[in-house]
Amino acid sequence: MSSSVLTIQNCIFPEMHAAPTPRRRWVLTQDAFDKLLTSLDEDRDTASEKYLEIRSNLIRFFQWRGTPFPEDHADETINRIAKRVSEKEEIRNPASYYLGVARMLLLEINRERIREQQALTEMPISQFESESSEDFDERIELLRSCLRHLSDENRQLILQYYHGEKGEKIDSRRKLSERLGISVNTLRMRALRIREELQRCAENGHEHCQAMR
Amino acid sequence: MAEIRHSYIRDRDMRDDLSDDAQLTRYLLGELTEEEQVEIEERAFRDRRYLLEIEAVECDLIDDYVRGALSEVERRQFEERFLASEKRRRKLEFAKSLEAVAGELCENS
Repeated sequence: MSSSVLTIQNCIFPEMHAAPTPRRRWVLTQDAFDKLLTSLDEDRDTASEKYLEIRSNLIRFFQWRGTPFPEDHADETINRIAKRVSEKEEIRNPASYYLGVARMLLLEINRERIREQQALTEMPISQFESESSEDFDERIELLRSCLRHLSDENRQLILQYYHGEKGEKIDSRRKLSERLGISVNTLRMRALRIREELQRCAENGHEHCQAMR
Repeated sequence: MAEIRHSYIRDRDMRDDLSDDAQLTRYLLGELTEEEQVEIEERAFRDRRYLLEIEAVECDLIDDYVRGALSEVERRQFEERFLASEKRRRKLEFAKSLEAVAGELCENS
């Protein structure tokens, strides 16, 4: 069994969080999930990869739109589509279709949030709790250690790419791209990849640093 | 002549990138119309490179917030949108650490 199929099986029925769902949840069955995968591709492995990509894009969509539980909302979107597929609805363009259903759900979520805010009119917007200085120091130390695991080239790249104020950053990035002989866009993608790996390392430990070298 | 042309193309590309970035920043802050948002999202779902560009602009926006480089209005929009989910709050915490460490290492180098 491929790793993508295993990954999917591990996240089909994730632990429930406290995400408020605008409607009563339809329960995803194994049969409905199989049909959903088949609707994406007849080959199981390809379908699994497509599923993971769609789910990850949906999570991004809900994040970009500022919702509080992007993973849960992405799963709810998929559940609704699985229900429709099990009722024999045909999906011609999965990307647009999934996005369309996600947007409908977003409308419901926003309506729900407005109702909740009206009920709590005098409550201030909740801010997340600021961490203690000990936690911050610990995170800094972890990050320093992760940076040491980077190759010299990647370490220099990430430090130079993200250092500086708005105006000077544009200029320093252009110079950096010229020095490396790559386009600004390629540089940006490299910096993003290293930054994501670095964050994973800082949050999860050094075993996640291997991919960064 | 070829060098001038190269430089012109590079500057034009840079200008295009900057105007795209400004639009994506406005998208991430929730300043665009629904139609404009839909257009960006449809493109992001079709084009993986574009999707990663949004992620890159998001990182820059978070860094600007950490450095206090956003206007009052942008800062409020940012807090409304970005502090809503735990994943994004983690990105923000990471950006604070990176800012601190990058500053210290760049000064020492």
